[in-house]
Amino acid sequence: MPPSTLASSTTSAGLSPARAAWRRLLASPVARVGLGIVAAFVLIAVLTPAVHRYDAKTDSNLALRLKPPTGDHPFGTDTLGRDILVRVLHGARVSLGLGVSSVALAAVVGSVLGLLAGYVGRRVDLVVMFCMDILLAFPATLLAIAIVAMIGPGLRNSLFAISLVSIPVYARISRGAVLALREREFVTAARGLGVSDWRLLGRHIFPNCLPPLIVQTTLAIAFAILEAAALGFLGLGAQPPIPEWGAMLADSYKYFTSGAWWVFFFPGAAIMLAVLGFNLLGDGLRDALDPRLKQ
Amino acid sequence: MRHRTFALLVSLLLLGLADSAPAQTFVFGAQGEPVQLDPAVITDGISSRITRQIYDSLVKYKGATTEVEPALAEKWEVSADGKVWTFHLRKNVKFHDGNPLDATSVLWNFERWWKSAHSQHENQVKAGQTFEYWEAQFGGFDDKSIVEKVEAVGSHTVRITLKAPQAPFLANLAMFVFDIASPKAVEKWGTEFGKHPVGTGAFKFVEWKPNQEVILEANPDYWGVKPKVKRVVLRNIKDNSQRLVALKAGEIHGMEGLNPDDVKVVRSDPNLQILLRPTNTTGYIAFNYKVKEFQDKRVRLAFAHAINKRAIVDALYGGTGLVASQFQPPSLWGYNKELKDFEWSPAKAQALLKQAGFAQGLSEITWEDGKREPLVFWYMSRSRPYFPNPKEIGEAMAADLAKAGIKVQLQTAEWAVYLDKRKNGQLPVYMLGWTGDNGDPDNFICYFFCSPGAPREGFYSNKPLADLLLRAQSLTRQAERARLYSQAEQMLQEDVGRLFIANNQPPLAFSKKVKGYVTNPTGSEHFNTVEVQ
Amino acid sequence: MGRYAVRRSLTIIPVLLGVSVLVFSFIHLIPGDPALTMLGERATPEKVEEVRRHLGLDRPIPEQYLIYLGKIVRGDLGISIVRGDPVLTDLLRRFPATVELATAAIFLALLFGIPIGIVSAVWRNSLVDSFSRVWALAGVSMPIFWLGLMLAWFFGVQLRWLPTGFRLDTGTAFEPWTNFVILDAALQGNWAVLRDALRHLILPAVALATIPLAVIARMTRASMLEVLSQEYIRTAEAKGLPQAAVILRHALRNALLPVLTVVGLQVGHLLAGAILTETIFSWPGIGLWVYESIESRDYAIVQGASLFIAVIFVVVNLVTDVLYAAIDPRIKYD
Repeated sequence: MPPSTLASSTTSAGLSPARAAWRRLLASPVARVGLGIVAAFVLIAVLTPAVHRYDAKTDSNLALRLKPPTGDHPFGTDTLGRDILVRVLHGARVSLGLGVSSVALAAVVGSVLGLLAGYVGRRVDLVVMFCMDILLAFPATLLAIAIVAMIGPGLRNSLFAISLVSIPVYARISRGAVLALREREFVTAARGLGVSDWRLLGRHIFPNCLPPLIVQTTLAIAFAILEAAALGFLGLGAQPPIPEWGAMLADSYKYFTSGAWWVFFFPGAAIMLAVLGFNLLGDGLRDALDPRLKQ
Repeated sequence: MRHRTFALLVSLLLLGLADSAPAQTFVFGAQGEPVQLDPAVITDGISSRITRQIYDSLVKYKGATTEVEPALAEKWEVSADGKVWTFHLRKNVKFHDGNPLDATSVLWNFERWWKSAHSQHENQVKAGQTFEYWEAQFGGFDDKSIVEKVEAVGSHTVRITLKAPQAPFLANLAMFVFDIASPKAVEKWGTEFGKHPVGTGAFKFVEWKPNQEVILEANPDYWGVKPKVKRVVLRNIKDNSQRLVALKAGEIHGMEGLNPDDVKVVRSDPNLQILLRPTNTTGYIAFNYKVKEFQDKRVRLAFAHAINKRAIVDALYGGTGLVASQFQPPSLWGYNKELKDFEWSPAKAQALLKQAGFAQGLSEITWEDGKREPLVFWYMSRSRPYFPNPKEIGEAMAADLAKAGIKVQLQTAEWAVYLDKRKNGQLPVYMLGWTGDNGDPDNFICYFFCSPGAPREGFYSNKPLADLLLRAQSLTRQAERARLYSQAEQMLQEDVGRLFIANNQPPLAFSKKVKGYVTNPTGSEHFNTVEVQ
Repeated sequence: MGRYAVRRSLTIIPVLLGVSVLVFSFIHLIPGDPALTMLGERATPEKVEEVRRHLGLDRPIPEQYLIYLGKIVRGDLGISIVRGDPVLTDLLRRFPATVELATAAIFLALLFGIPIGIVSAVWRNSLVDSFSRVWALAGVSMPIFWLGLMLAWFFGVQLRWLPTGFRLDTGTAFEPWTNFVILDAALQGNWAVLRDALRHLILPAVALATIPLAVIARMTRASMLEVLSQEYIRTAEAKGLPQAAVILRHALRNALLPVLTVVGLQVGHLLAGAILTETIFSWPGIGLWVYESIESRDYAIVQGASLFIAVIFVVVNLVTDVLYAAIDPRIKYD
């Protein structure tokens, strides 16, 4: 029986699997909300710098410091008089950018490693998976924090650390998909026909890994954004005056006793919404892309 | 429900605070863990606050001033040439371990600080400690020191002979580092003496619970004003907000290290009071003169005009700050009242930059060895009285600079690393400050500007200034010295040697029940006059 | 099963070795001279040499690793540069606080997560189900440092119902025996302190419980659904047993099995989450300690604590796997 790849078969309704999946996605209200939130944040991240010029370096207006939310400043102002709404909007690019790029890096590196491990097998498999097991022996958050603590704070180092802890999952997924498929008839047949390994990997095996990879990527972005914010909160991420949501929280908790709740409420809410959006979307994608798994 | 909780809390408090009624113990919230309790080798305010209760020096600061009054020495004379000081020690004073305080023990302490071959000096140096303040105030160790001879003349008289008169001599002796320790105890504990302090002070050391608190108890045989409370607890609460919460809840009776924004919170709380420490602290921005761009006075002047000190002081000091026009705070007698500060004018700053060849702004620097790098502005990672919230203040200053065309990158390092980098002259432009130790302008300015070209001061070299300051140090008449120090400030300003930003009156918060706490500009505050009602 | 347990136990040895290699490499990730960076202002040429020798930085790397391995096997995790105390001693002293917090968090997570999961499964696709699914996802998406801040702000500062820092009111005279304050207070019969300790525990535990709660709720729901759809449940229903009985007796017992394994997995995340929660509540556990050590460049502590937590994580996973295999007769172990 031919495997149901997205690339090479149709459903009984005559739609390609991709379109069918898309329809299923849109049918679920949870997924719709997730999609909406993600789209909104992506738009904000991309459009804000284009539409509004913001120079974090010169942003400071001490006369307006710690003003509560009003019409002029819907999210209030922070300790240097900076408009929090503006900083939260510009922070989207930093946080989402960090999330997406670290996951992209992890996806590429991890998938390649996993594909190799699964396809080549034997010793390569053993070594690669052993390394992945070691990385997984640490709680991811802790490992990322420890790495950045050692190599020093900053956006680039955060990117490196978050990517590193996200790699093992990709390796496992792609390896699993490869292993599952390796034994299938069409692969043995193709090899019998003399199709090169690379072609098999690229054109047939890899596309089959796509569904779990897509789901994983979305969820990984959610995790990466949360992780980046955690690093920022601990002072290990973006350095001032870059508007990063986690870093904005770090500065804000001395305002407990003096009452400026808006300083920590809005950046934190942004983090949560963004992460929630990606998680909802990921959940919805999981249901949509592989209906067999749906309960 | 709330009343019951409150009652439970109160009874818990009563249960917890002491073996008897709360008024017997004074609990003070400290900003962190003391380094150790041997006064001779510490330099930080957290440790010295504790040691000031355990030890005494020959002389002490009077009340809320920096005037000197008798302590372990009940009277003293100085020779006509100003070189020979004779101290007459109080009789019948004992250390907490029972040994008597006499000329021999005082002599022993001096020799320990002064002679590098002294067994209790050498062992400390080997353990990585330094007698930094002795070196700074008295010129160095052994022959380098301005001290020529220290001798015990009789059982209760000590004579100190200097190579040259030193005007701030008495003021120096009152500093916390020159507190007298029990020689027998130091010899017994060696480098561990810092965990088992023994002095003559109003309070005896009881226990140090690491990361928690240090407990002291009243010394019933104290020679001076006997303590009004039975016990003192110095509790380590690192976070400023948590410390205030503890104060509001009545778990501690007093604290230092208030977030500037919490000053108004304390003021509006009917159960709390604020005491301001008289200003004796200045925050500044220092340049590194190995940076080619900073060798041009116009660039430094641009910095001076770019920063809006007034706005920063008004906004980020909780109402306790003052704009600084010079290094000395206004409370010092060498303060130059005539000096006019730089005007805040981003336009002027930009014009100056243009003149200096930076019409496009300044964002990169070139070191003397040719290395080019982005202009990094270093801000402190630890709150100090002169910059209570250094990150915010640093960001505000960076923003001001940016508006004038000077684009900096903000960077910090952990405090010890920061100080180390500064000591080695590695920071191109950085924030730092100073709190006066003894009320003498010499302690303020000479430490910084008496050694031209010191890496620690960014290689700033101004020999006429150094000569002037050294001369002021050797004179004895205050009026003459005052004139010279005022002149020194003017010279510094004309040269734009350093940018002085703000003075602060560090706020301390107390429960209204606390009476008798006397704040001192040097931070040297004694708890024997404190009572908790 | 016994063979599986033994075999599975043996697999952790290479993993632990690998973990030790990774942690060992931490010191070498530091840009610049680690000894100089660690000592900072306290550095004198003699001290730098001493630290380098102490860390073994003057030997070739493989030899350094073997020395390191020898030390950690004997329990020597190094000494704190700042205070000079052995890392392991401080670690063990501060660990109970984190365990107490984590236990409270898991307790809350199970207490609320399981019922939510059951309700979700039994009334699936209803409003309640959708609602709790979103809540569960929200839980997983929650930045716990933000939630902690908000809880502390709202309940601690605004309402003043609960304290926002430390394990007990500062200054409470209390001699802990095991450093598990709640346990000690109960053992000593000191109900006032017990109550105080619980009050201090609530907010950080709630914050830390958020993610495990969400995960447990989802897991319970998923596993309940799977069990409910199985043949023997339908048989029981057909036999006429009332639905509640069916649920409680058959489905639940089998559904809880995977939830158990989830609890094991959550331990690692709880330990990591501790850093974020303890900083806000000044909770004197390992998390706060690691945070302070990062600030003061006390790398030995960061290394030692990372190793400690990783070992615990690995062992807990092992125990969970073995337990799961022991309880679930269907699992194939090869």
